[in-house]
Amino acid sequence: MKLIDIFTLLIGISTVLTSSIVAFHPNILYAAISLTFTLISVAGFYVVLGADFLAAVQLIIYVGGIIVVILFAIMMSENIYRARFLDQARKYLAPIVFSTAIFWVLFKLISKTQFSLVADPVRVPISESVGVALTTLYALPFEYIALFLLVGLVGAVIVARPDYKEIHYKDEGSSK
Amino acid sequence: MSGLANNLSFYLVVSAIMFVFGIVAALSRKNTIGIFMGVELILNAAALNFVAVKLLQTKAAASPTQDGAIFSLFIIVMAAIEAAVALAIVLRVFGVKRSIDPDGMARLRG
Amino acid sequence: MTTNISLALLIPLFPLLAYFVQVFVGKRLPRMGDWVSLGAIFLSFVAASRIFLSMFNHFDPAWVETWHFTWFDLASLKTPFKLEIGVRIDNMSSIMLFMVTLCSTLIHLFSTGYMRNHHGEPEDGYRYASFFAYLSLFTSAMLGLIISDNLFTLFMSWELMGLCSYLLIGFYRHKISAANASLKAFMTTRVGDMGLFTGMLMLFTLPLANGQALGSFRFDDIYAAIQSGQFNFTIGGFHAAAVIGLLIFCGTVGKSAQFPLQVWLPDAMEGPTPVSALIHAATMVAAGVYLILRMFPLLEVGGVLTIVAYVGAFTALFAAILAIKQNDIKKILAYSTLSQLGYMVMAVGLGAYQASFMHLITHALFKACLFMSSGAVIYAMHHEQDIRHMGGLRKKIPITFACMFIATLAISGVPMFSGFVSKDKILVAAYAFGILDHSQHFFIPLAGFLTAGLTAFYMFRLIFKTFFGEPHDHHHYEEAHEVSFNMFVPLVVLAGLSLSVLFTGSLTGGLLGEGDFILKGANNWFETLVTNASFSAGHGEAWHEHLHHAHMPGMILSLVVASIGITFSYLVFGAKKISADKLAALWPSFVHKAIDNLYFFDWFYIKILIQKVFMPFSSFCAIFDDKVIDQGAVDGVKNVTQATKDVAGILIDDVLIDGLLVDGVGGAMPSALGSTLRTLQNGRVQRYLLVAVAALVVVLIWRGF
Repeated sequence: MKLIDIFTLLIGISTVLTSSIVAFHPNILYAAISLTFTLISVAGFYVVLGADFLAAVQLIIYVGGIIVVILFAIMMSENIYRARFLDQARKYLAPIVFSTAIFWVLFKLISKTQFSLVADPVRVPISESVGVALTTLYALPFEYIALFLLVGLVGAVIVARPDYKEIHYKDEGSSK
Repeated sequence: MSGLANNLSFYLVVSAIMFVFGIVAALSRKNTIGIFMGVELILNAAALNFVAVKLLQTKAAASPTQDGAIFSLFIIVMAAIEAAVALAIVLRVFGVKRSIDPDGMARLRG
Repeated sequence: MTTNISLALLIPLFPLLAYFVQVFVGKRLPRMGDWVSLGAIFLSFVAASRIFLSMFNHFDPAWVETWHFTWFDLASLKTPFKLEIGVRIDNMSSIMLFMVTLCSTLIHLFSTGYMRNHHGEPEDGYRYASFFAYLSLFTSAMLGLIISDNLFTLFMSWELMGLCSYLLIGFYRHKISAANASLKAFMTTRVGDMGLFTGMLMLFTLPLANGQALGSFRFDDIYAAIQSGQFNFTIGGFHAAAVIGLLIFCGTVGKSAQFPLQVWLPDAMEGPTPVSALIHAATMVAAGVYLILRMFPLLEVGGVLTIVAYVGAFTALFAAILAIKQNDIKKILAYSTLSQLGYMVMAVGLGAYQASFMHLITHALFKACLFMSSGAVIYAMHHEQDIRHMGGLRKKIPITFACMFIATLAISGVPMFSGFVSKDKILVAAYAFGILDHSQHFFIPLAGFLTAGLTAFYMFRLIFKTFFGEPHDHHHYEEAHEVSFNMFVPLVVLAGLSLSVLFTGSLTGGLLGEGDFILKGANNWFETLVTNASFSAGHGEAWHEHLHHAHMPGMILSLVVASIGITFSYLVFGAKKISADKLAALWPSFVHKAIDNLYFFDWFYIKILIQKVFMPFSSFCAIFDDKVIDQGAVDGVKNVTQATKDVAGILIDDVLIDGLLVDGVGGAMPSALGSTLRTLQNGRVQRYLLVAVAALVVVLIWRGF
């Protein structure tokens, strides 16, 4: 086993452990913090898989952005000193049954399939080729996702703001 | 079989586990934000698959463009949009109902 | 990259930086940061002067320095897309840069006084800082437009200017009229911009005569393609260059407020007066003319110059007629701007692009002076704009009066002043074209000479009503006093620049022939430098021949017309020998009605075009959306679903369940089934998700094995 394999194994264990905490820990705050580590582990996977740019994006957007937003939402929407902050519902039965079924099917599929693997995969920095692809072959999807992001953000602002009528703009006109 | 780092099945299994935990979280949480975190796990599992297959599977690796990374990138952007919209909805609902229990938001029942 | 190119790049950069400083920290700076904007534009002025001097050192009509780089290059696409942008400095753009930075510096200086009240405090609170931010951005956009060597960055600056004009015209946002005017200016110019943008795209993508698309926005490439005859093909029966040229000309029609999109410009007077000066003299309206000057070869090859000339002549004449009846001091100047812009466009249409460009520069200088003088009058009169309430002000504000009087002499075409030289060249070209060359186009010289007379008439009416006679409003009159130095210095500088000697090297503008040039070697430097050898004849050799013959009669005629206008104005408004009311009564009432309603253009656009054409069309679209798409498609699907449900309800519910199960089996099983099924439709999102996952499991097991 080479160093990279050990590293991969550690990341895999970490991913599984932290994502299980996300799924099962009754305290939503712990789950959110655990999600951070899951996302960092996924960024680690990207590093192992040679997708350096994507690892950076994962760290910046997911870990730096989305997690912060989630934590904000938790802080703002739940009174953290009250018991309801904990997730008390124990209705795991049906989800676990179905999930196990899905996992079992997926596992069967993965183990049965004969993948034609690359003998010696090359891990080169991908930032440049991603940038080129985004401005050439994927220029249109890129524009589209940008537009999508814009629309989503505008929608989010409209949803999150209080009722329009409640806002009273002060007349900032003259200081005479 | 070469090392674990080059074993596609390993990545696929880990990603399947993440996916399944995501489904469990999305199905069982009594908290809208918990559901949302489950969806994040599902998205990450999919993104991981894209990148792993792109590097390790013969046909995918032969493609000259970094398709896997680009689709993962799009997934990340989509997750960001989803985060913005979902959390806006959460805050709005909390402002109205003082609760984000998904079972409390059943006004759209048929 | 030469020194001039680096300087040219710096010129728009200074005001842009000032804009960012002003927007973010402007209101926290001492004096709300007006010195930031002023300093930035002054630095630009210094840089522009350096380029201007360098132009004189070369003194070569063919002098041009260009620099460009590939902004982006999508070579791996099926249809390669490459965009090169850069800077082009030639005689035209260096003169233009000098003029714009000079005017803009003076306007910034003037604004530091005008935008404060009589106690020296900013009038609009912290928006004083925003005002300077917008001014800086506006100037930066205009300077960016001038240095562009391609249509692409030109268009970017062009649109940026449209935005800034919106912000500045609507600066007094508490006034509804200002808000409407800003919207009107923005929307109307947008109509023209559509044409410009379409033309640009056609120019870029259309396969030319050699089967290849031009694939470049750069002027050099466009000129080269024109010269090698690449545009000699037709689009739908029309010459390609004519179609593209007219589309690009649409941009000018919008931005330079030509007929029929002239409606926004008079309303733009709702902005603060320095803004009017900036829009109407140095920047926005000049940009339109600058564009067709740059695109002159295209218009020429397309043979659409005559159309351009007619548009200009119409605008010139009809705006001048409107100006006569206005009473708002700024409105008069607005219509005179329209009229003078008509002159410039007409001159381009006549092929006399040198005259057009010269008039652009001279007009910018004296019109900036006129606007700022009117601003000074308005300031002195405590925001009274109606000239009927003024009068006798020359004793109260002598410096403003002197400057405004000089600028009025210039715009009226009095010898020794700059307006005479440039207007004379345009009128001579019109005379040569419409009388000597093509007598069927007699309207163009007729409109030109009539406009010259009317201009002199209404400008002197403004002077007589404002500065002479008895004061009509004694309260304001007593309080009026000369403005502070930062407001009259710009006036004095600009009035000084209204002298013709600076443009021709001669005191009289060559009136007495070649002998009276005082600056040997710089005779007619302006025309010498601006004449572009690669722009060919205009209206052909015959026209050039006639241009020489037309010189004397054209000049004499323009002098006669101007003096008639001035004399008449003096008789009516100065000496009051002729009653203005009687003069007005000479005209039938429909003429007055037409003038009062601005020839019904606003009425036509709003009542007919928008309410009768666009609104029905959009409501038709709405009805289509509602009836066909919503009711037809969406509701249709709903109906089908509902029908299916009804049928299924009858079949399954009544027949199967009621008939078979309830009646057949009994009570226990149906109620168990019902409660199970009911839990599926409980409005809980997680339950729905669970069903989806269950379905996924089923599908996976079914299909996966």
